[in-house]
Amino acid sequence: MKTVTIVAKADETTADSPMTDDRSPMADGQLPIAANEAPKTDDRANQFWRSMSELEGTAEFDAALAREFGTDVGDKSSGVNRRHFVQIMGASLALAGASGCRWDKDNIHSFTRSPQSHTPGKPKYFASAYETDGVAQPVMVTSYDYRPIKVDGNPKHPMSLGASDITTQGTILELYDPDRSKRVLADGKESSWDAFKAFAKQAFKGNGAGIAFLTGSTSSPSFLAAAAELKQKLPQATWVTFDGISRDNVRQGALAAFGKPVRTMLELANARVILSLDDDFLGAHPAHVKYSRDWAAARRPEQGHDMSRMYVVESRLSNTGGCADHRLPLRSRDVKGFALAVEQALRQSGVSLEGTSPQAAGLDADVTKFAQTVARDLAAHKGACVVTAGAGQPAEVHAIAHRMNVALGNAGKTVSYLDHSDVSQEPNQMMSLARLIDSMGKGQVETLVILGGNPVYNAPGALQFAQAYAKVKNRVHLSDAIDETSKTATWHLNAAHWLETWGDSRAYDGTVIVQQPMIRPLYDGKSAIEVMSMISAATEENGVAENGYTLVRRAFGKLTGLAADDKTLTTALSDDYDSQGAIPEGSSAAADAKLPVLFGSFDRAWRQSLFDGVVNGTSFSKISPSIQQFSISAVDAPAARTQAANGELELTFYVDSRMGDGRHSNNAWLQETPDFMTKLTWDNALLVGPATAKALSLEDEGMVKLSVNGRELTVPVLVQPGQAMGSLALAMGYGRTAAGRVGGWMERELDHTVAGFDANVLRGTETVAFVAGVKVAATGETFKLATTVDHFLIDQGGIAERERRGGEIIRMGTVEEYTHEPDFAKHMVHHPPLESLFNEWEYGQRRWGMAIDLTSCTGCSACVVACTAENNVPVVGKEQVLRNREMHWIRIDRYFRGDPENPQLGAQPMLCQQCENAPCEQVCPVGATIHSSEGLNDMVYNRCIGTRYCSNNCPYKVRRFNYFNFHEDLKDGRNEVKKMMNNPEVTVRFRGVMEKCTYCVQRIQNTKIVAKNEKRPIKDGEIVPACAQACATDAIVFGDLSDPSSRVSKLKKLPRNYDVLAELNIKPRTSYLAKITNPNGGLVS
Amino acid sequence: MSAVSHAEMMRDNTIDDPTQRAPLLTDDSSFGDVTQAVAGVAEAKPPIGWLLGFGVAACGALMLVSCIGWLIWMGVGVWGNMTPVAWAWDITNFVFWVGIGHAGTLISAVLFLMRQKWRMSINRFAEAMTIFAVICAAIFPGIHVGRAWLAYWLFPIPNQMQMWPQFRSPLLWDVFAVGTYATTSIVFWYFGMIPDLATLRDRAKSKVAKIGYAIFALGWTGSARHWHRYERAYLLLAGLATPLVLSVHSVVSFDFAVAQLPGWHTTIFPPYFVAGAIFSGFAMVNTLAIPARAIFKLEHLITMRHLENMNKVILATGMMVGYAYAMEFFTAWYSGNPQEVFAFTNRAFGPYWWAYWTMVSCNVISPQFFWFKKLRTSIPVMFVLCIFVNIGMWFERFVITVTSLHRDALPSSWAYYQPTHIDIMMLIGSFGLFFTLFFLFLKFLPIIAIAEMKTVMPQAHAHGDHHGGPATAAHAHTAGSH
Repeated sequence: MKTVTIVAKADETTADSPMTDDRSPMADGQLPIAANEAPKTDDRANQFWRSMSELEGTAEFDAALAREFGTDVGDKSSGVNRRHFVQIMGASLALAGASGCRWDKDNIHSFTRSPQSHTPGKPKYFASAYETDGVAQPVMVTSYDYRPIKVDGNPKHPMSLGASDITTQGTILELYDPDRSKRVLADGKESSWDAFKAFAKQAFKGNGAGIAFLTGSTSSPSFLAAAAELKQKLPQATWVTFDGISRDNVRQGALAAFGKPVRTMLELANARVILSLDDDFLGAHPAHVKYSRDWAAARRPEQGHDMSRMYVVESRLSNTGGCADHRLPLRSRDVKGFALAVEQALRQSGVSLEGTSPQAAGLDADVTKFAQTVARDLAAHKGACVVTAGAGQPAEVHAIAHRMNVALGNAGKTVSYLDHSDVSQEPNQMMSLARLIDSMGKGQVETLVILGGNPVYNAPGALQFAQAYAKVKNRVHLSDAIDETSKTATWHLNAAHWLETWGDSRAYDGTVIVQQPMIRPLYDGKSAIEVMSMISAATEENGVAENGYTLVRRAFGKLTGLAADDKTLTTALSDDYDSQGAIPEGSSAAADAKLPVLFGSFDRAWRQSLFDGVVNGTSFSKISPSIQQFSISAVDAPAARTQAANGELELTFYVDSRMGDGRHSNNAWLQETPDFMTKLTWDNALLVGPATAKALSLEDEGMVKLSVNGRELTVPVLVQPGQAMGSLALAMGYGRTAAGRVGGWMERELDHTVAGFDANVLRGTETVAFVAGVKVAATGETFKLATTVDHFLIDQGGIAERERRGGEIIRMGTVEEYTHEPDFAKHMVHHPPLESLFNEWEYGQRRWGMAIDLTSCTGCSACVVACTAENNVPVVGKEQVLRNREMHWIRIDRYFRGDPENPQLGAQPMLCQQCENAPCEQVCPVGATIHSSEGLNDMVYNRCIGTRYCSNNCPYKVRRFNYFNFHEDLKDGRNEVKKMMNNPEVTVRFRGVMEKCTYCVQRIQNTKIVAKNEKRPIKDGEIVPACAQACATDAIVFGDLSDPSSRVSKLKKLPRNYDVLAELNIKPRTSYLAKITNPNGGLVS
Repeated sequence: MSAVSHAEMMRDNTIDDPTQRAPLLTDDSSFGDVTQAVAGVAEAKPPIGWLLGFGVAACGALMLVSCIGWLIWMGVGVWGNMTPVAWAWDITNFVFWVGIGHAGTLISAVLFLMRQKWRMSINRFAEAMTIFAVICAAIFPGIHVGRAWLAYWLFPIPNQMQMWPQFRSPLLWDVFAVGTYATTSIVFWYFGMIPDLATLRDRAKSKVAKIGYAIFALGWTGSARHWHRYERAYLLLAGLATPLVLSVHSVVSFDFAVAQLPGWHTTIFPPYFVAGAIFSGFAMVNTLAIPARAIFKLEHLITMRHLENMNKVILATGMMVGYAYAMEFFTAWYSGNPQEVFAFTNRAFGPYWWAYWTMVSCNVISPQFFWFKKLRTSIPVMFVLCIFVNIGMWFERFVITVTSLHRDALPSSWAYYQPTHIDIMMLIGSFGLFFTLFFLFLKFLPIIAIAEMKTVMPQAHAHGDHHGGPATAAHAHTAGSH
């Protein structure tokens, strides 16, 4: 059965399809909670259909389907208006009766009778979970008329508290990606789930010999239950887990140190001293949202207690390194020696460490001094310090870090150990993958089922996965796109996006979150658990595959210990009451009283869990493991740090916070979000330190051939400050050749070039993320890199001025300076008394303002993507970024200071400053940008004719001009689906108009309306712009300046508050809190 | 020391002899000869040079029209403009062409009021050039806006949307200033041409030409009453146009001066822009006059002395412009504002140093050659130098617009602007349009003010205030400045 249709499937449709008018309030809806839940049969007659030919399954209809969108709709994509939609719907409903017998026992609502709880145009919010590599991000999804449009953190969940990260913000675009796979393919030809089921009957027989399952890490209870069932039915089958971003070292390190699998949770809010051994825990850690929040909480100079101090030792300047008080650039392979030097110094300070360790020899004097200083600081803060090692570092370094933490008394205080044995993974995934590939190559695997993941792309090049893969007879791949692995699969199964399907997963702390579908699968995709259930059913004579709803409810019952019979598990909850406001906050007795009596205890618990986005009592228990004896191999003498010899170079593979393991490659929002450090978009590049580049005669944008262990890759160079001498870095997740029209799709659309370069080609089976003995050879060619800052054309005068101005724009001071002169930031720029040509504005009741704490900003860029999602900010593509036409309303400015080999760094989110004396407003000839009574610089798109004078006169250059119709692609029938993701509250701007940050005026207005209806004042913190909402470190605070007790008013009263470019007398409403660092006197020269 | 004979003066009217005035014409043409010389241009079959020139120019104009079509179809993004350089060649071209348009009014109105009779042979030319330059200029602000079809919102037109322009914006002042200037210039030019159009009408052989010229001649008969009213009105229009010479470019300069951007925000701009405009306008008049007088054999009407006088004005205004360049640096330094200082050092030594030094070489250094009489009376030298001045003045506008924008307050938004093919084609195309109009003017309209010309001829004063004879008549109406 092929279902593209949808229109009238009122009973289970949670949103309309790409073919319906996405804005139609008539889009039929059912509570998503109730969606997809009833068992379905695959009989055509039981489905609603669009036409008789569909019902009959005629060849014409199938052919029309294969064109992705029938000519009637696709070719007149913009012509499907509401009336047309209603016609189709009406006809379908009328014909529905013809299918006769029975249908899903859900409620059918046409929108002529709105669902009880539904107000058209009013958003609803649903808690859910977004799992990546076995760790769930707790999320809250905004849904308009059952169309999810935005994903944020779940404020109720301790791992999020409402904050989120860049990929969570970006995932909504992936749901509506027109390049998603739309149907099952068998040998590349269109097929169906039924055909797959028939195939499964044949393929999954007997004891499972010759069958292998390859999955990514997961913590999903229902997945693990389904896997357990399959393992029982196919005992001989091989199960391998493999993640593109390896955390093998973390697992093995914990195993070595404690003798059992243990998950480490840093409690950074309690930490006074932090030592990061090549760990970018603020940027690339599964728990980095929580870590960022806790870290920032301990770095507020005003809170009365000591600010934490952070030391970072790393090869590549990471977000964490940028936030460090002291950073030591060191090759990744020398970090182990450094860790040992710290241990030695700790021993000398009288800290008793278990076991022995080899001497760290040959360290430079300054490295030794750094290690000793750090050790002294750690020893002075026993029980209040943290040592953490990066996932790229070998297991030994992790073990050393654990040993230090335990010896320093940090366990239970600043570091918790969680017992995650329920979901713990194979410690050495790389080895088990290598074994699987070996048996595949030998022809021992007849059927390989890959559930998610893309090993053809992201398995290390040395393993030659693709060659072995070709020798497998049945290659089954569940994937949401026809990616590299699917292209050569014999069975491609189209996966449902996580927003389309039931599921469950555990957050980093172990709490289970039920993942709710927000919309009916747009392309009839299935989740991994549903596919496993199909396979499971195929092993039995009369097996029946279960749907996700039942599987997840069953796992939920097991987790909570609540009994439920099969009928309960499979029954959809009735839509008799409002899901959103159903379970009132407060006492559970009151909540229970409101629930209809027909709910049993199981359903009550279920609904509560769905509402909260957390299943109570499921977090991992904290344990206190003791350190085991472990041995550490001898340390290679570190190479001289002042030289970079070709052939002895080190190459690190780092995780790009946007692309991950490559799965986000086709996400244009993420491709276009500039990397915080490099400001690079649309590509990755070989990062080389300035001195290394000089030593090797490498230049920006020059292509070089990298060779290591016989593997080669040609990449462009980007000279990047802070990169350790002799160490090169290359981001993973780029160079996809079958990602889609955004990330690269070599065969399907030749004009879409591949974004970036595939680092996996160079990777070996090392479990560490770096490799030595690398050679570079310039090829003489050049490659244009689209950075969003003036990176390549800067003269000495410009550099000097940038340095000079950087200090005025991002004002920094140390804790000592701050204590000594709290308002130092206000005095950094001197100017005479300012007089205005114009009368000052008079404001009414409210004056909106914003304060941004530069001490807290880590540059994670979640705000940038959050703003993009909230405000329908268009993507412009690499060519336009090269022309400096990126449209982001908020950008993170990053300024380096001092030594290019180890610079100091400042991050500054820059958005419209909503000046009171706004230069933009004075020069607009048509009055398209005007001052509101609440102090906003309102932008009237309808009125703008696009003189761009406002942009010229804006000293912050935060205005963005639509040089083209950047939404042009929406006219393409293939992209019709993308319209669904636009925020209906925000105008989609036409070409030729100026746009800019509005402080999320739509949110302000909505809250004002609510407050007015309720006849109450707006509460402080009730209005949160998208950037502030996403910010994990709470660096961005918005509120009413006329209320002296509001948070933002209080922040603005702090002595370190300052206005950027105050000397221009433009009176910005956005101000910044100076960046305060806490350096160690012993290391400050 | 009346060493110079009249014959010598007639051969070379650039000789300065304090005892006598240099003749305005360098031969003893009769009234009929002058009429024939000028009207003949319009009546004769166009020479091959005209055909070639017109062909090339028309291709250029066509290219401009196509580019504008493409621009409006696709969006302003077909240019290289971006953030932070939101204005680039579009506004550069606008200011450049408006500047060119200054010479016309100056010559026809200011010199008229000052009784500078040597203007008579070049004013028609200069006025035509003004109008065509203003047409070229007016195109750019009209199409540079993102939604060109709504550009009319810039005008204060009462409408059902109750929209009204925002009067604090210098762009709006621009609309009024350029609009007024264009209107006045066209009226002034056309009005001055009426007697000559009547001459062409009377001489026309073909019916079409006769009707055409007749319509525009407005029934001119040359009666005393006509002449009386004509001269009154001409004087009034000249008085009306004179302040515009100062106002237009002052207002255009407000686009920059009123903004708060370092490099733009400076009070020197209005006088500096006016001087620059006259500078570029005169250079353009020369650039056009030199080939035109050769092709149409008008050397005796547009004499070397005219050219020399204009070169002197170029020298003077070039020095003013040079002074302004120096003062900008001085004020930036004297202000003590580091952003101002950087804006100017960056101009001279930043990534656009080449544009800055092209500008200085062309605008400050090249006019210095006009100190030497030999050079300022040499046709090849002055032609080359005038073209340099034109180039230099285009670069001046480029330097002001782009180098100030490309590195403004926050280094995070610094960037380097590069033009696209469309930018280049539109600049060339604007010259194409300008020359197309100019060639049409050469062919169909009296390119020298015939009637006015005759008033300065000796014959007009044969029985006048002096004792007769060509020499004394020439004495009374001379090309030199008083």
